[in-house]
This record gives sequence, C-alpha cells and structure tokens, in this order.
Amino acid sequence: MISLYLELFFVFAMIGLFCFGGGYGILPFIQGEVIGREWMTVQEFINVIAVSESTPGPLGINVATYVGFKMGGIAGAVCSTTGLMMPAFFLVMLVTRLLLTEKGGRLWKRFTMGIRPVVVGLIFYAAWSIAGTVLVQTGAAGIRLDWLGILLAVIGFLSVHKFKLHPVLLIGTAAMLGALFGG
Amino acid sequence: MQELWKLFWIFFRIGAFTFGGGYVMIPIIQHEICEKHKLIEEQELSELLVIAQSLPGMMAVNAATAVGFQRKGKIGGVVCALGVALPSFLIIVFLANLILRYSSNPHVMGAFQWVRAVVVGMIAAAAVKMGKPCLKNRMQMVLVAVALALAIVDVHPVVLILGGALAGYLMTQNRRNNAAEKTAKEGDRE
Repeated sequence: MISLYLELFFVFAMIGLFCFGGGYGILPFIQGEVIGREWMTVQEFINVIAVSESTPGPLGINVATYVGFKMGGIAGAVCSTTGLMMPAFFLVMLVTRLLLTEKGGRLWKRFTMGIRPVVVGLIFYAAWSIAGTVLVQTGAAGIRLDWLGILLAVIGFLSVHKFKLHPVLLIGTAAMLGALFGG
Repeated sequence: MQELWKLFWIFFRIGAFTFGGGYVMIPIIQHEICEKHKLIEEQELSELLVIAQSLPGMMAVNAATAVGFQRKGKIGGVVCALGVALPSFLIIVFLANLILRYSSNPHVMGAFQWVRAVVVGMIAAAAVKMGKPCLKNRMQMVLVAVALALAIVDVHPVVLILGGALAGYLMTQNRRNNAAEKTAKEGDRE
C-alpha cells in the first residue's frame, strides 16, 4: 500500500514538472503514465474531463484527485494531488525572482519558444488517439465506426470552436439527452 | 496571521467559483488582489501572472503560489496554493464517490457515452486553438510536426519537451545571429 502512495505521488510529480500549456497540458502524459498503469481507462479519463469542465478548478487537480481517490482513497488523493502541485510550487518560489530580471526572462522565453510547439504536437497526438479510442471500435468483426459519436464530436467541436458555446451548457445538454436516449 | 487567512480565503473562493481553468481566473485574481484588497501593484501582478502561465503546472496554482510568496514568503505560498486547490479536491472526492458507485447504472452510462463524444470534439477544438499561434512561425510549425511524428513512434513526452526547450534555445540564437548579420550588412551598405 505504501508503494502505491509513493507511486501516485511520484508519477503525478513528474506530470506536474512537465505539463506545459494550461489545462490540457496533462493530456500527453495520461496515456503512458496513468492508463498504461491501469489506474483508469480512456473512457474514465474523458468522463473526468467532462466533470472537470462542469465543475470549478483546474483539470490537472481534478484528474489527480480522481485517480488517487480511486486507487487509494482519501490518502491516495492527497498523495497524487500534492505530488502534482509540488514541483511547480517550488519552481515558482525559486525562479520567479530570476524570471523577473531582464536576462532571466529572456532566457526562459527562448526555452518556451520551443516547448510550446512541442506541447501542441503532443496534444494533437493525444487528442487523435483519444478520438480513436472513443469513436472507433475494433473487435473480432473488424473496425466499426460509432457514427452517432462522430456526429456528437463534430457538434462538440463546432460549438466550442465556432459558436463559443459554454462547455457546461454543452456537457449538460449531452448528459441529459444521453441519459434519455443513450446506452 | 490575519493576512494569511485573508489570502487563503481569497484563493479558496477563486478556486471554488471559477469554471474553465487558469485563463478565466486571471481577471478575477486581478480584481481581488489589486483592486479590492490592494495587496500587490497591478504592474507587478501582471508580471507574476505571465510567469505563472509560462512555468509548468496548473496556472491557477502557480499564480496563487506566486502571490502568496510575494506577500508572506514560503508560508504564504503554501496557504494560497492549498486555498486554490482545496475546492476542486473536495468536489472531485465527493463526485468520484458518486461516479464509482453509479457507473453501472444504464442512464448514467448513456449520459457519459454521449458526453464523451462531445468532449472529444471539445478537446479537438482546444488543440486547434492552442496550435494557431504556432502557424505564424515556420520553425514552430516544424517543431509541431516533429513532435507529432516522434509521439506517434512512442518517444516519451518528457524527452520531447526537453528537446523542445533545447530547440527553442538554439533556434532563437540563430535568429539573433541572423538579425545581427542583417544589421551589420545594412551598416555596410550605408
């Protein structure tokens, strides 16, 4: 049990040290570090994203808390969530003063110039593989596309990208209709 | 002590009432910290927020830590970081209980099935939005493509991010040399 707590702490500390680019910055790490350890499935992960988009607070905290709680109860949730927060917490206190200087700020900016596009590439890949898992079923009968799912995904994409609909509204509507007609 | 409590309470409320992560929080943090409680000058806070955004980790936690540290040192940092994270922690522990208990209910399963498909579209929209600024710069476009290709062949994200930092350092060095040469040549012409 102790080793599980340590693993939760260190896996999420690694994610916390390397997740750049806001809420979805944790996406590239989930497949390998969390789903690969069988701490949750892709479906579960997307459920947590949905819950996270409809509740206050950062996505990373929500994912860490959910995984920790599922695997090790309250103590597990404390381990994973403090693990996630710890690296940035020390970084902020150690380097803020340095980054406020002109030289330090310029140097850091040069690094982030390269980090940002890499994160974009990683998130494209994560989004693509998530979409594949959710919308395509591979079974004994070969590959089967989930047409309703694809339609819903297109609606989701356009609502956010084009019509700037609030995620809570979108998720709430989909949940209600899904509870009635889905399954 | 009184200010610590005040800081905790400010960030607890920010954590509890802002939907949609870091970027939604920025104007609220500015309002609470600068205008309402006058804890940090506006100029200084916006510099702190830029740093909080560029460092790894959750932007909201970084911003809270930076503000707390600036005002009250290490303890201030701890107090503010805990304040902003605690509401989501409590909400998710509560909801995780419900989700894990009712996940085999057919209506809940149906709801999540539809929601998942919509969320896939939302993630794609977020990815496109993040990618847009990189289209302005050819070097960054190349890096996006290289990262994508290496991710497909299973290179670890940590390796790619460290590589990206190095590439960013090197490519800006080149550009600076080019710029220096350019000005030197222009100088020659004159």
